[in-house]
Amino acid sequence: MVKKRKVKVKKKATGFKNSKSFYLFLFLVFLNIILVLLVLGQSKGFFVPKQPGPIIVDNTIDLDDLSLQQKIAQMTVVLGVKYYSGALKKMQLGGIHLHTLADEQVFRSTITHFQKDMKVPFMVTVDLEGCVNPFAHYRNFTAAKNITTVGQAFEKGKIEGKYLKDLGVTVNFAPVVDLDDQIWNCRSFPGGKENISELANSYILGLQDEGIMGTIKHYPGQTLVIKDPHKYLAAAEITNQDLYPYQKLSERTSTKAVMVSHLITYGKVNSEGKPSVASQKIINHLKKDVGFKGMVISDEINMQGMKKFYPTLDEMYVDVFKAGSDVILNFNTDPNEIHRMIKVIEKAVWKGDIDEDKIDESVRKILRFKGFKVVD
Amino acid sequence: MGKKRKTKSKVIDYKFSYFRNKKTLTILNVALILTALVLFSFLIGAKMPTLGKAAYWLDKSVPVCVASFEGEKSFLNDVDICCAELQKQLKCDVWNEIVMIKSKGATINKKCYVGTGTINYLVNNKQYNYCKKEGYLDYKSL
Repeated sequence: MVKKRKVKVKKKATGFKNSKSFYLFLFLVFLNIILVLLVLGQSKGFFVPKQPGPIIVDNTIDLDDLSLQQKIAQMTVVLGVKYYSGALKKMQLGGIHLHTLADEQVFRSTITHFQKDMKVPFMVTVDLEGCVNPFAHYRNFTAAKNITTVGQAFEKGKIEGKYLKDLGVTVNFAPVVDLDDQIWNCRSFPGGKENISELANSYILGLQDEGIMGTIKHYPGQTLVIKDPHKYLAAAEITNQDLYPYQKLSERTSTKAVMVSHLITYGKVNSEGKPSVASQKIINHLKKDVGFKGMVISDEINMQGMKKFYPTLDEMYVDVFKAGSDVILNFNTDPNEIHRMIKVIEKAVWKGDIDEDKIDESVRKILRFKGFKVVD
Repeated sequence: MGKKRKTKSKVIDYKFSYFRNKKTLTILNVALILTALVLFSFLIGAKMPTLGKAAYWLDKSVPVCVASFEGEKSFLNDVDICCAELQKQLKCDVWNEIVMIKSKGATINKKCYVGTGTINYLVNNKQYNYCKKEGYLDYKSL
């Protein structure tokens, strides 16, 4: 009898121990489910706060009605990835850039998806330039190196512009006006500085005739030359020749946008050891000496070369915004990081490191390009 | 009625009998704790070692990136610019070839392209794994 009781007590004790482990097991399953949901939510930018909708009266936006975060967001163009599109829409970013997609239908549906319910539409940008064609799997366009006359260049601009407009694209990061294409041999128009400038001008007129903004790149030149493979960011000497297309195309007011490169430059324009895109001196030169009045767009800043140049990402963000570009391309695929960048810049404006008037000036250009009247 | 209840409890007993084994429960709990730790580190943004990173570090060759358009080929020495260009491509196929450019040869493992009539890129595994390691190709899996 006593033995039996002992066995019973032992069984009970084991059962208790097991039930403890079982409850721990249940708790861990629950914890893992919560963590999976949190990780998924985070990767989709679920926790990015929603910005209030801008007040638009008679197609007019008052800059004073926009919060600083909304203004900085308008200056930002990111990769248009549908997976976390909700976060990009909540942040009310300025634009999305599209690389290639499966087919024409996917391009159309992606753009429609992004623009749906947006009071201020996204700027939709692509790289259809020289011999780079994101639509090449279903549609071909004449490569820039095969264009020899201004008539052909204008026609190319018209054809490409019409197609882009029909898709819902608003900005094309083309034409390339770098004079010396040593790597690709196909991204710029053929010929010398005068020819390249003339053909680029005609191409832009063709594009803009169809309502697509062209972008000359990559200021201040020399970006298509063979680089030292051991350096993250290359340096090159800029001559008057390199600047010629920018001066020529700025004189003709046809050019509405210029993209600034990552290159460290010396010579005629000196970036003072910084990447051009983060150099106030370079962008001031473009605006004041070259006399360019349009939109200044930074080349993609989420590049290892750029990131490794700076001790922290925050310093890179502040330097790039401070330098004076109106539109910043950041193709980081984490929407939380894009939101963090906006907060870093907001803080830098509050601290006085970045001039808010400069931010306003950029937002004015962007909103006007999007077809709004802007008042302060 | 009583029989039915007994049968039901037997079924439950059978289902959970697996968990009565203390050893099994302990193994499951340890696995769940490890999974929770990995998920938590994802949540706080810790970088995890991946197969791509290992492949990059184990491969001792030099990154090779060749831009190819209408039969003309040239080396693209900047690894990051090459990655930025690979981002723009639709897909990368296995492509084993030795290319010769100005008497300099290089072994190619992948061809990345959008379609015909546009530029494509020929890269070796070292270059491709570098782009993966640095996150340039992350968005393609989203």
